Amino acid sequence: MVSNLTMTERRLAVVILIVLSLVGLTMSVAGRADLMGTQGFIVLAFSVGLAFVVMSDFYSPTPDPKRLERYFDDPTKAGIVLSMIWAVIGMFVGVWVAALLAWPDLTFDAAWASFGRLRPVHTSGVIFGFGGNALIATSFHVLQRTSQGGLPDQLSPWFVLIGYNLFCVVAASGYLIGVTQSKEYAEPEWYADIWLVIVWVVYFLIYIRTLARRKEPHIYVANWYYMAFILVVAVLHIVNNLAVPVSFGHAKSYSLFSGVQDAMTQWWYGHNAVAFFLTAGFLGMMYYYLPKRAGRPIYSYRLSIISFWGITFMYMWAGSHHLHYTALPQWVQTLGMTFSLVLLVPSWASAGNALATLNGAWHKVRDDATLRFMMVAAVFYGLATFEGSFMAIRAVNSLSHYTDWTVGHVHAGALGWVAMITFGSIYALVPWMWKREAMYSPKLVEVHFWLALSGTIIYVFTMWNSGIIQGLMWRTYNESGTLAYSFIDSVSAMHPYYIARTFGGLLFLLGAAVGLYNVLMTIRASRMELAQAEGDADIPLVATARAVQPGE
Amino acid sequence: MAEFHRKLERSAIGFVLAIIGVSAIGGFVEIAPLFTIHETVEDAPDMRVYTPLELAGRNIYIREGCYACHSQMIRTLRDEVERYGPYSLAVESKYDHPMLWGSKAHRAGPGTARRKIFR
Repeated sequence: MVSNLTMTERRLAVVILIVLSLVGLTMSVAGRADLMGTQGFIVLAFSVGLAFVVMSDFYSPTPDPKRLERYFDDPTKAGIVLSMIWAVIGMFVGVWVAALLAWPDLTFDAAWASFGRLRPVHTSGVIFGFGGNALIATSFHVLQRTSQGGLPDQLSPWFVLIGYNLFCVVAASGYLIGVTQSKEYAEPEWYADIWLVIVWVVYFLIYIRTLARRKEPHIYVANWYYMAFILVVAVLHIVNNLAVPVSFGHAKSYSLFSGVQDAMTQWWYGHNAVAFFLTAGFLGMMYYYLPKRAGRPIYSYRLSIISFWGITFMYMWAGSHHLHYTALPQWVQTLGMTFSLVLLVPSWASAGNALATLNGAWHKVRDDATLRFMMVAAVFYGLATFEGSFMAIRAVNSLSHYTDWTVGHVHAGALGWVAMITFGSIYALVPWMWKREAMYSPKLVEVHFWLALSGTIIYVFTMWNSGIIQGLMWRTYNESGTLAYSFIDSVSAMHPYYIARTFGGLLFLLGAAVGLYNVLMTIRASRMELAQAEGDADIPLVATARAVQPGE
Repeated sequence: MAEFHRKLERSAIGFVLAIIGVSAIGGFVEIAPLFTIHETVEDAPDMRVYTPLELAGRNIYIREGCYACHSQMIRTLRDEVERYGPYSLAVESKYDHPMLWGSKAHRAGPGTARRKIFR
């Protein structure tokens, strides 16, 4: 990690880490009577630990001056591994909270293990930990290949990747001790939000600087999506997190907006976190790795243009469909519903473009689980966007809102689209990055595929059933014109579905664990080959069998 | 169209500005008027700010993530009104920083708007 930095970059890295540890120290001291103290300690430990890593290799040989003409893939490699680790953590907590709904005693009487505190660990863990790391890792890779040029320096990509993971760690550990803004998918408190803005600005600058040095005149489609992801997420994040801290020594803050304006801002953010984090970013991934793996060019350039600008323009109007029949003025609800329906056009244009790209390569889809991951992702993208437009219709939403149907819909997108396209891309990328023919075990990729697909289908079907039953039970009247079921009746009716949902999630988690193992073993095989090549050159072979020691 | 786009996608800065411009419109049209149109929030002279004790209760509700399953927003649907009480008005959350209208995700627990839980 350090050996690829120049001397100036190493000095700068140490300065950044010293500043960061001072920030952590200040937070621990100023917030010693508050939850912020614990958060400050985590920042301090993180930056001091990292400073040791940099210092221990500080005087290792510096890279040659031609390094900027080559691709710089170290942060991509680290990002892939981090992404897979976060996947297993985030999905494990997901299975746990799913199990909590079926068996509430699984909190073990610990405050930090209650549903309300664990749930954001699951959502942030998978969206930001797993998804975000995968986006950063693949965006660096795609950006360099499609620009035919290297990244502009070695330090800033590391700053983005590691700084982003610090944000994730501070966020997840904060939820467990009760630090939250209560805004969905924007739960981290003000200091974490400010830190993410700094990281994000550097991320954007890397993009612009690399594009400025590109040798290819046209900016490739994948980069449009990655740029939209970076830019719009920045705007959403800053506006939705405007808040006034209680004091600089307190983790707690109060949001700038209140009531109906706050609700609209939150769902403008929330829905477009789905649009620009979980859709645009991953469409960027799809537009590069799917045609690459299939060995086919993108089916239609015009469809790419239409879908890109359609998504960028229309998604921003759709957030108010989260607030149907609430105290939000009806004209905003109607606008949200209308644009959600029209949004189906660019969404299906993207999905169709991806599937039509596979024409002539369907035999590869049959034989290659990696490409099949991407194909299934495009199918689920089409299904989930259709379902989303459907659920945005006011009358449908009156039944589906607040129920498990929404949870099922979100997971059709998150498991079926986001996770599948990520796994497909990672399985394509890992052998390229570690200079291998294929993954350590193509069979395990196949196993992962079927675990992921069956897990998703079980999950989504279960939540459709439970959600619709729930919604119907709440609105059923008996002959005398009174409500037929009490709320607790609807809770008991969910029990079998919650068990089935946990099982579906468990299958998906097992698949992710198999994937992590496969990635780590591929890296290990590549390292062993490298070590062997070096070992053959200068180290004489020694007897490998260890002598038996007395007492054994 | 394709010709124009071919030119646009040769310029990184042009593309950045186009993305910002195109994406800004929706949010601006939907959010900005909520601050200026007077009828958005009803007039209710007896609405008051939370007392310190109520606020402390609210903060516990936030800290424990209750909003993940419970909603402070009763929709204007017959069964919700009969189950939870009169539907919520915008003015009722006028002093809510942030609002606690609850998760889009699900309501595993009943609505809490009429339970006076912060008292």
